[in-house]
Amino acid sequence: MWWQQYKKELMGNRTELLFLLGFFLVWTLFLLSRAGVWEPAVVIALYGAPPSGILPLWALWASVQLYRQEWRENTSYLMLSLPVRARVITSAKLAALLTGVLGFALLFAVGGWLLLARTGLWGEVFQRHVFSLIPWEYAVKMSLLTGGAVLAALVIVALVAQFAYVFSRLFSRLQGLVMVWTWVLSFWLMARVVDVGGRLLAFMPDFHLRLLTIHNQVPEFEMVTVESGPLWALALFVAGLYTLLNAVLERAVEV
Amino acid sequence: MATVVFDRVTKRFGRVRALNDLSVTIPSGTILGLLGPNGAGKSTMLKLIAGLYRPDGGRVTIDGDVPSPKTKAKVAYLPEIDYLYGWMTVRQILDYVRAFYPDWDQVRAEELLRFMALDPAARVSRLSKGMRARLKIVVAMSRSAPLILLDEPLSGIDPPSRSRVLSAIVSEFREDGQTVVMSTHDVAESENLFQEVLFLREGQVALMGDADQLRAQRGKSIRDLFEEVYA
Repeated sequence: MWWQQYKKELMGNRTELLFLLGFFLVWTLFLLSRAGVWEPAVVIALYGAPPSGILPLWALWASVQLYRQEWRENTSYLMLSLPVRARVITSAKLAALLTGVLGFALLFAVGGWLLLARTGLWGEVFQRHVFSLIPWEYAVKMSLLTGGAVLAALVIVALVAQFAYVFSRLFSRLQGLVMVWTWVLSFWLMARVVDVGGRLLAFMPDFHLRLLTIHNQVPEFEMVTVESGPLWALALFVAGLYTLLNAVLERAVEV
Repeated sequence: MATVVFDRVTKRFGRVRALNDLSVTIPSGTILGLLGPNGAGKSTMLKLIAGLYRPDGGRVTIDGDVPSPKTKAKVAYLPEIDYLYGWMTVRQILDYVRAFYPDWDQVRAEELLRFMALDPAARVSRLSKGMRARLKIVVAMSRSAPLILLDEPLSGIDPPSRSRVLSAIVSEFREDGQTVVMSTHDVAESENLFQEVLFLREGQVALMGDADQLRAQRGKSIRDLFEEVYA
């Protein structure tokens, strides 16, 4: 059941996803053709600009669109009459969104590597200078951690957007206004929960992170302590919001 | 078998009461005609049973349970509007719906597809209105669901397709295990289909009973009764 729902979400939004990936592919190919013509720094800066601007906006738009189109095209009649718990639908929609983000990230990584190689920056910076001092194992670990954090942030943004839209469906008027206010209040509440929850959960064991710094061409590791309380509070808030989204979709919202 | 009970159910849309303190029991193992003019509350009743609307007052139960994923597994619902994904093909629609219902009967689905003269490879958005209505019937009637809800299944369909739709409903109905509730304001064509009829007026029961008994007692057809009730 979940797989069918996930497949439906992917197939139903493939046009937008392929358009986004296609646009970025064309942009990458264009910049590859400019390598050696333009300054390497300009090429790399232009390459990084669209993902940092477009990807979060697309994720936000797609999050709402995954639900909005169900009501706009009256397929909410089918979606809400399915004999499944709401979590099957909500998780499939989130997973489809993440698939799009991961596809984009993969394209970005491959394109970035090609550009760095083509502009010669890979050899200049990554091999001769500071980056050659970073152990591969550490680089992979930090890349995964950074990627995971970006992904988690996108999931939170997507979840809040989806909750705001579904919650706005409970109102017959001013749905747009309700959605915007729900969005704003959810983030305000999240900040409060992280603040207060972080203090209440201060007894939780801290996280330790090995950070690499380079002084005079010599790599040095230092241990950084990260309080886990705020992170646990954030995780609890996200779990609570997801539960609420499912409850609203299953018990309150109408076609 | 599925018994549906409306216990003092009220459903409002703004200031309008679509259902007004409605209490009625829909018996199991019958084809019930839900009759009334536009705005009588027919679609609202069906959506409440399907779990697509929530009552503002009172309670709707299916075999004692309020609408939930559990009751939705017992209900095959056909809304009046187009509710199937336009980008899917007929085959993809059937495969998608089948995945959610253990009572899906693939043999019956294939038979209905042929009977309704639908091309499995055709995209839903490219089907004519009549074809889309026939596809909705295939989706609803391919299940051995205890409760089948049909909201104006003949609406906007050309005459040849109408007879196909009615034939499919009659041929697939199983009296021992199914209840069919069909709303319509076009009584003439479907009157012979109904075993029971429920006339709704302004969200309340205007008349309800066994179709044959009502005909015998009043000496009128259901169509004439319809005109009498809503005169």
